[in-house]
Amino acid sequence: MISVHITSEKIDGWRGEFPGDPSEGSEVIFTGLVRDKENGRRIAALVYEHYEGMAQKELEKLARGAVDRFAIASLCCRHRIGTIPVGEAAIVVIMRSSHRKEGFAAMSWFMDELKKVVPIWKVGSIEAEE
Amino acid sequence: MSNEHTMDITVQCFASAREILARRSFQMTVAEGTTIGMLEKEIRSMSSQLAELPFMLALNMSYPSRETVVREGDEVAIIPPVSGG
Repeated sequence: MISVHITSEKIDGWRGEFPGDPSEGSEVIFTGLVRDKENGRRIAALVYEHYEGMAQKELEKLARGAVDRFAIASLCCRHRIGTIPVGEAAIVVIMRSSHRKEGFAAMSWFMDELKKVVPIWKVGSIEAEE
Repeated sequence: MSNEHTMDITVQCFASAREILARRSFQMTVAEGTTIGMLEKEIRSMSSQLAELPFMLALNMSYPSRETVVREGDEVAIIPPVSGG
C-alpha cells in the first residue's frame, strides 16, 4: 500500500492508517523537523512551497521506487507546506517491511532521492524574536 | 501569437527562479522543433543570474530528456535545486 499526500495542515504525530499485516515485522518512521537555525540565524519558522501536481506525482513515483527496490510492504508519507514553526514536522514517512534492514535502507534512499527531485522548496524563513 | 513556424508555451517559475525573473509564469514563443536542451539555453540567456543557476526543466510535470521536443501549449517549469523534507 502506498499513500502520499502534501498538505498545509500540521502533521506532527500523524501515524498513517495501515491495515495491519502479521508478516510485517518492522515499522520505520522518519520525521523531519524544522530546526531553529537557518544559514546561521535563529528562526521561528520556515516557509515551504511546492509545484502543485508535480510534487505529488514525483513523491508517488519515489514511493513506488522504494517499494519495488527494497521489498517494502507499505509506505505512507505526508509532506507539509506553507509556514512551519520550529520544532514541527515538515515530513513524516512510515515504512513497513518484513525486516528492519530493508526498512532502514529504503528510508535512507527515499529521503536522499526526495531531496534531489521532488519540487518542494524552502523559500523563506521567519526570524525569531530576540 | 502562433504561426506554422513558432508555438507558444507557458513557463512556470519557482523559488529562486521566480525571484530572479520577478514573475510566477510567462508565455514564450519558440521555434517548432525546439528541444528542452535548446529551451534551457534560451531561458539561461534571459538573465545573468539565471545563467548560473543550476536548475532543471520540467515538461508537463515530468522530467524530460534534453532531446525531448516541446509542443504547442506545453507547460515548462524552471526547477531550481529542491529542498523538501
